[in-house]
Amino acid sequence: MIEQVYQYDHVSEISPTAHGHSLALASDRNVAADTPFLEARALAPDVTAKSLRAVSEIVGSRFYVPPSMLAKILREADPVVTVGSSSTRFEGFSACCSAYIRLDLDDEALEIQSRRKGTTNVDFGPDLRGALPTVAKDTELRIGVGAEVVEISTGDQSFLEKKVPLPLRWVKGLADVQVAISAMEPAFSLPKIAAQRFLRGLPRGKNDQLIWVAAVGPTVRVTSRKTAGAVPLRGSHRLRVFEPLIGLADSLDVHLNRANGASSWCLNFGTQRLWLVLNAEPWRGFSGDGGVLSDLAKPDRPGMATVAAELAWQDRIDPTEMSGRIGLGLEEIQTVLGALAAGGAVGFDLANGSYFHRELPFDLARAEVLNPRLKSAHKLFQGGAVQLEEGFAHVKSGDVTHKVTFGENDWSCTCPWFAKNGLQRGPCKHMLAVEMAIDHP
Amino acid sequence: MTETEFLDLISTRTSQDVLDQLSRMPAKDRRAFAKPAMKLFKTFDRFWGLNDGPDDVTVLDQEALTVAVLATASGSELKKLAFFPRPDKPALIEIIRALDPDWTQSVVDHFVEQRVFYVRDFQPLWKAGLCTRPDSDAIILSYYSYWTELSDEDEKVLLETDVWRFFEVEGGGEDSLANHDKYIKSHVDTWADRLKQYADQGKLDRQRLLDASLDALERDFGQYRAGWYSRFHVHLEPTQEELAARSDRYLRLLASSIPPTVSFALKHVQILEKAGALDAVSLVQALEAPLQARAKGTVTTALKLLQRAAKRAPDYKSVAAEKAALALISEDSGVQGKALDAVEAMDLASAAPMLGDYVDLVAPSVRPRILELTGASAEVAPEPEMTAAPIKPAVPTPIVPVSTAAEALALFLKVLEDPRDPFEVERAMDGLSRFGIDLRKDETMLSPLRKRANQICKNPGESDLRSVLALTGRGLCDGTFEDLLKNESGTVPSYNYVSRQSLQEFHLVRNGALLKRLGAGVSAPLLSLPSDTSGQVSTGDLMRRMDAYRAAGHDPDPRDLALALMRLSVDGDSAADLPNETEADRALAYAKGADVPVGPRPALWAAAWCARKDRRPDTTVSKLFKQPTPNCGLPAEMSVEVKKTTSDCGNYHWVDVEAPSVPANTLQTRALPALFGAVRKGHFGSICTGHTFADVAWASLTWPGHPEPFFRMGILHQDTWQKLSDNHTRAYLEPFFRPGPNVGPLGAAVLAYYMACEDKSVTSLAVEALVAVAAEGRLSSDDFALALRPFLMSGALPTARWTKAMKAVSDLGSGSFARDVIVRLLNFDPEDMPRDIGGMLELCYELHLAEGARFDNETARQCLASLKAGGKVARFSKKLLEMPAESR
Repeated sequence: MIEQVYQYDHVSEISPTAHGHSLALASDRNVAADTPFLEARALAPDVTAKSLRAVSEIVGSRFYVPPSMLAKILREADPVVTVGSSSTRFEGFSACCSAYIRLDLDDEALEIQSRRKGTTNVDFGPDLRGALPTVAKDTELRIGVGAEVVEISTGDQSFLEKKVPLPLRWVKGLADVQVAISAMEPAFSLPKIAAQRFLRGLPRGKNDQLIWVAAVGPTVRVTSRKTAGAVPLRGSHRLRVFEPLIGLADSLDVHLNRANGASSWCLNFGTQRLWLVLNAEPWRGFSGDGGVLSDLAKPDRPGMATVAAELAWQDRIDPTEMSGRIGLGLEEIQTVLGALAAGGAVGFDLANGSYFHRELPFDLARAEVLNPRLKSAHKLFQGGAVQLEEGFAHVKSGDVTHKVTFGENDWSCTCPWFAKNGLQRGPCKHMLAVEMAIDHP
Repeated sequence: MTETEFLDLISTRTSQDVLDQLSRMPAKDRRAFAKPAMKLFKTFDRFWGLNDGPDDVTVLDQEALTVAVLATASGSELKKLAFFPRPDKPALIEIIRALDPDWTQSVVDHFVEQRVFYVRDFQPLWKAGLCTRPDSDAIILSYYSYWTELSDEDEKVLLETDVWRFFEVEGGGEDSLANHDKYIKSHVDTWADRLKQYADQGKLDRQRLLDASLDALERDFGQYRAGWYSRFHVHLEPTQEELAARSDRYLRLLASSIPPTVSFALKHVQILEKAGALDAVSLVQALEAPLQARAKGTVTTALKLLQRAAKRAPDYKSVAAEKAALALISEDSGVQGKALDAVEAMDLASAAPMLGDYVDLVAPSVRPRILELTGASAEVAPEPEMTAAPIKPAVPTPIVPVSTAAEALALFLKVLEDPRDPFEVERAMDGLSRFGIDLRKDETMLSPLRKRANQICKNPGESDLRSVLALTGRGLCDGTFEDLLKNESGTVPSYNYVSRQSLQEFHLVRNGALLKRLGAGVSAPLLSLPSDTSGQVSTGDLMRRMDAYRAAGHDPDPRDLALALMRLSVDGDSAADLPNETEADRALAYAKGADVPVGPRPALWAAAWCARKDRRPDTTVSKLFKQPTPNCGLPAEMSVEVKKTTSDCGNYHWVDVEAPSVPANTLQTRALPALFGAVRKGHFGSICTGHTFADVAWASLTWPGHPEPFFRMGILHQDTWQKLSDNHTRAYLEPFFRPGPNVGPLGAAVLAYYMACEDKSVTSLAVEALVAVAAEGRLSSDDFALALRPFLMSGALPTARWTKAMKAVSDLGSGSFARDVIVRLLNFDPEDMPRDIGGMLELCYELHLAEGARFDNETARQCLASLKAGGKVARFSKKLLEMPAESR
């Protein structure tokens, strides 16, 4: 458990102005500096306001309460805003770790007065959430992100402080979801009306049934059994957050991570996009998917520091260009970027198929240490449990000896984890231990 | 005081004595006895409510233990308890006063946050100044959770502060205002009444109450709980002026995500609009959300309001027309028609470009009109991009046996974790059957299985199949099986792990025989491994497998052979060249039609009889059983009976579905075919197929060539009102997705019945199953209508469920099948007309239009002509009867 302490100089609020609304988003005092992160006017105010509300709604949602966790400790964390060189992104993660949402605002969606690149938390209270949908298309919406964007007389001691205990799986999941996104492929795209019909057809209540969604011409086919070209969707009620927005979108673009079944649903508004990334099962956190465990298991990652030093709030990190510039192989850069994503240093944008720089305002330095599977693998390896043979290895774990078979693309293990998940959720601890042994012959 | 003296004190004295004595000790000295006090308290706590206690310890007064815990435990120790130890006597307040513990505030805060009912318990403490009232939502929830007469002091707190938090604290579970007012006794005031009375008496600010209730509706409260706030707002009976002062709020609530809140707001907007108290432009903008609502009434009201607003603000007619076009998203053809009416009445030219987007989505009856309005033609529509593959008919795919010991172990470990695929389970068993001896030679290799199988045996969960597999795994590792079962089940091998008289009991015995054979050093294939995904075993495969036994000098296990025979395909192989030496040989020859001596094992011959192509009654087999037994030499006649049962009070009714089997398995024979013919005992008493998806899926492979007895279980097993996260009854639909025989009456009844379940995961799968078998020609619309008819006519389930299902069938590409089914259902006397048949008639009409089909079924026409009804039934009967007799 990590206790995240948010300190704000004021409560975020949306207030009427002579021409419309002023949205003053308070940023975390721990990150904020003298100048605001952003001062801008929304060019599609209704879309932006409703999308921000959707971000806030997902942040406040619990689609699943893990049995080992009391509901009361699943407090909502505040959204994260990143101001880049040509875009602004608002990110949120549901308290249950099953849904990640991000609003990407291109510069064409905002008339920017001032900007300062960086990442911070922003306060999003229930009153603000309730007021955001009232922003109409033809009114003005001025957005300010920063500590002092609203003129409220605050004494030195009068600031808002929220202490939120964040489960490790939440913090890690928010970082690891980027790794899942980076491995997604386009599945299909639906025009507005078809998407609207599809969303209306979904059950209104909580629904954990696995369905398969496919585009058939201008309509959608939803089936209970897998069909070719269909995207798996469990917990379809999570998509309801899109309902108030679908009428404003141009299309609904769907991507799928074929390895772990996670899917991304994007409302495309042209100059802004609202992404909702759902894991394969509402009760399954992204943190357990282990997409980068093999990379993290490697003894050293040459180039990690070099690539990290290159990060400067880029909206689009071009590995090829970076490779030429810093002299690291393309594959190594991709690996390092994956590891950086798991560390919260970069996110992935499916719209342009590239990573972008942002630093999650959480303490992720211990992510590697905190990963239980990796930790167990280290223990096995360091305890001499791995006995390498030709094409396979024996890994002694307590009174059981597991056989790990390895080949080019064909790893397997005799442990229950592998029997249950295969490679869908990354390698098991025995495989990781074998990988470590191979790297340290 | 020593520990012994302390234990003696709390065991032999009353709670008051214990309190008196312990309160005289310094807190630090008392703490020394925390452990023994807690231990004894927990020992007795286990017997809470049983009026009993452990045999070896006696205690005079159990309340004394509670006092002892409160006197000795620290705050953190108390907080670790699931419940606060609260004695009835002495009162808690006396205990706290006497002991003056340092944990009072933190423990009160903790338990109040945990459970609302502690508010009542701890209230005396903060009233007496022994702690402060916790700043928790639980305080507000306590008002919702139980009714209390309020003292003047309490009423003051309520009216000054707490009441306004009623509009911020939603509650949940049992504690909410909605629940309180719904379930309160009739002679007691609801909170809505009480608050209104306070407002009427001037004790509460009425205007603030009106605003607060609207504030609550703008919050993200759940639909059920939000309902209280809208009802309360209405209960306050706001005046016209009060409504007008809040007109912006009502307009804003039109965008609520909660349909009843939208209806509530719309009603108030209607009143304001009639009174001319709304700005027309604001109204047009605000109606965007309700125009796209799912509820028909909401959309039609919004359309009316839109047109009125457009009249008042002619400059906004084009905007209003564009908004009206949004209502075309409705699935209802009537609403779509009204949306087009509104567009035409306001400004068609402005909205026309938008209409084109809806051409493919509107009902067939509306499509010609929308094409006409847009000036487009259906033929010029571009070919749609297809990203989904069409649903393909199921074709048999060979089941490939595992080829190495390592593969066999990996597969067995896999199915041990997830046994939902019966083919994989059987492949895994075949793997053990052939490579089990090799595996047993390598203890290291088996160690993961040993550990996992033991773990699962300790905590097997609900699945009988998983227990069977875990026991099999343990049997393989330990080298014995009978001994294992004896040890696990007590003194006799009664297989306590699995349900009696079930297919998994049979499965366990089959696997036991397999392990026994491995113990004798004989590796051989599993006779009953399906040859392909139809679930059937080809004659050639079975003969080859039996040859392997012959070569090994070992007789096949009669249970494995019985299952193999049940799965035997009715292919072209004849009995001409089959060996005839052993009972197993004769049974196979008999299954293939040979005239051979029958017996002595009844179960084996019953299975062989099932494998015969004709399955004519054969007394040589049926006489092996003490009395006529279903499908044991005598075909079982099975049927479906549906009736509507009404409760004694007349308020409730439900569907009763029976599937009698003649003869029935009254002897409770364990022969495979007879298991499916058990007499119904209780609701699910006779279900042999298991309790989970995995169990039922495995059972579905018992008799793949004739699944009607399996479908009988599917009918008896269904509970239409049950909604489950993993509904096991979906496994009864598995055979429809496999290559298989034509669907019989019971299979068709399963489809018809399952389509009307409450659980959408069942209905959607049933719809897909129907589409699959219809596409493969395995079920005709006539036969399906015949199966559906008794369910529909019973009136026990809402007709709308089948209407929705038929619409879904049509959406999946089987529109003509759905149409034919509905037409064939139109065969009833006017007085027997099913309720809500109008929706089905509407669908029937739309399906005819969509495909340009004729409505030429004379029986259906006569049926519709005879109906004396109004509304939708009359409207669509007329439309159907007016349809052209010839196809267009």
